Amino acid sequence: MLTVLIQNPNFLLLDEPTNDLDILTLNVLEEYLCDFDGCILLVSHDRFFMDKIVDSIFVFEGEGKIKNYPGNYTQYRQSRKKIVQAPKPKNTSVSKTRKKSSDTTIQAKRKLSFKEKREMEMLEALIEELQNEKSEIEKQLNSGTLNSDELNEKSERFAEVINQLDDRELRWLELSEIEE
Amino acid sequence: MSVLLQAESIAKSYGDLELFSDISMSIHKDQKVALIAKNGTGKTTLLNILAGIDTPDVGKVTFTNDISLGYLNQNPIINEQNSVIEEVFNSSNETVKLIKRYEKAIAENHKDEISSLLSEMDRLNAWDYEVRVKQILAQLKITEFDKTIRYLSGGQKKRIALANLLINEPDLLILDEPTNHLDLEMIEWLEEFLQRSNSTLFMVTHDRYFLDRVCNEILEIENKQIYQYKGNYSYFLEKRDERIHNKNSEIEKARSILKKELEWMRRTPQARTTKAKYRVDAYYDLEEKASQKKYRDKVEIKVSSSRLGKKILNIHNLEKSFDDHKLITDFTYLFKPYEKIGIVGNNGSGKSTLLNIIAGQLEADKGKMEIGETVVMAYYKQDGIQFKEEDTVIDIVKEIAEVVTLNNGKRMSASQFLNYFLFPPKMQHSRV
Repeated sequence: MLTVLIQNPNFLLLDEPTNDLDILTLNVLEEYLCDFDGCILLVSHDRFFMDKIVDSIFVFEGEGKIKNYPGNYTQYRQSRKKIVQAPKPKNTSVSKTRKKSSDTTIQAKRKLSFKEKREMEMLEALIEELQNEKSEIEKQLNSGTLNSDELNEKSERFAEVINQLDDRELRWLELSEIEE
Repeated sequence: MSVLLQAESIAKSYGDLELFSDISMSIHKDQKVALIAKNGTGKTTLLNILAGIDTPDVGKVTFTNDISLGYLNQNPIINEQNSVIEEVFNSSNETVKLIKRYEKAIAENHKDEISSLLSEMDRLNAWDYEVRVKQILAQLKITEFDKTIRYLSGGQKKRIALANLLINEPDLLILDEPTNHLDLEMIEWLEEFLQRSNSTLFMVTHDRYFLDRVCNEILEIENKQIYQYKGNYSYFLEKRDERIHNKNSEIEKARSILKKELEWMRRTPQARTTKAKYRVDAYYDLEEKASQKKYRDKVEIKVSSSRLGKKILNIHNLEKSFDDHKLITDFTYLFKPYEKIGIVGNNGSGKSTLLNIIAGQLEADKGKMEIGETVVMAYYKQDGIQFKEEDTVIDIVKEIAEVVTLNNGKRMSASQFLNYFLFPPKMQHSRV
């Protein structure tokens, strides 16, 4: 680090300069960089360090897009949280049919990730299992051959199965909506 | 509050180098403790001792019976031959074992196996646990379950070791630099996770937001002594300042008394009789106290930078991809003087690539870059500079410049410059 600073530069490119530094040294470095008479472009996973030094942010948003945001890291995160939270209530209040027509919402445009696809396939298998179990229990309950203990046990299990089915069907719906 | 772990006057040296001596501390249940110290003062050694991997030369460490301990090392010890799923779910906990079988069955799509495990999962009430496990794996971006550990990068290995610890939820978590190798999103998530966690925590970290938001107690090792602060980072800064202030005025006071004492010692050599012996002894005590090193005051210096003109760096429609992977598309930016910009993005999104292109170490696929005439660029990257091992610190710096010019026109020798960055003369002459 020092060998870089000693060359009297006026444009600093820094890639993870905080690694291996203890907090005292970090403070000295920060002080130096804050007062630095020149440009700095830095990559760091130390949020505190970044907040102290930078006055704007380049964000790699994926697919090669780089966007410039004013403010330091914490300010950027806060403004992003607001953006992410804002469209959500809209989505839930809008009815399903309208959602399909309004294709501008962020969620509707997104494609399913690999993990989500896997989860969906999983859910389908699970839902099938649960439905089978549900109809099995239904049959038993209706058969009239169960004693009272068994009846209790089965009806409890029945409620549980229905609950789980509900949860999983809901999640499946959520995922399928993303895909649309 | 029950004590989980206690260290009594432990000491450790490597050869001549004494790392610490007579350190006593205890960790109570539900505490979230951070350890702060300068590099090279034995933080990792202390963690190793507390975790039972290393032994102290003197003193002892006692664990409360029956507590489970999880330790995240800087270089985690994991079985290279295992697959990711084996390591992530490496546990003696029944529920974790079951979730592992379940996840495996899903990954391999064994329908019969899945359905037989379902009731098992119900029986152990494992669904909530499973949701949590899924969340941990998703946040730490661990997806390729069947890959062998050996083929993973150091960062991935560390994430897997971390995931394993978090899944196992031990009573006491000891973490050595948990934020290294994580990207910003993961760090933010981990911060929230640890805040909510029921585990007692002892960690070394340089992430000051962790210190401030996760920790409720800070231990500092300085001059081989341990100081305890019952609060977060803000509290620590305040109290540390007080402590140094007190210490300095104590040294100051000792110095002025010493001056008078010195006069007395010189004036009355005949006074050094048995009667005055106590005073002579006291003098030597005092001398020791007064000769303690005072904490450095902050020095206001700036290295002058070469003057910067109006035109800095203009980037037009820059593009770069590796194979089919687009890292930068159509990036245009005109740098303004004195602008300070941070770069944010997931690992592998192309942050370092952008720096490399600007530094001229990498060719862009498309686009134009104009660099102003007055610009003197300097590039620091983590493993960028190779030093000859036999060189001393001062050699390396002198090779670049003997004298540094400060912006008020004053000049500073390479040695003074090093001192400013907390390299005392002794360290300057040690080998890299």
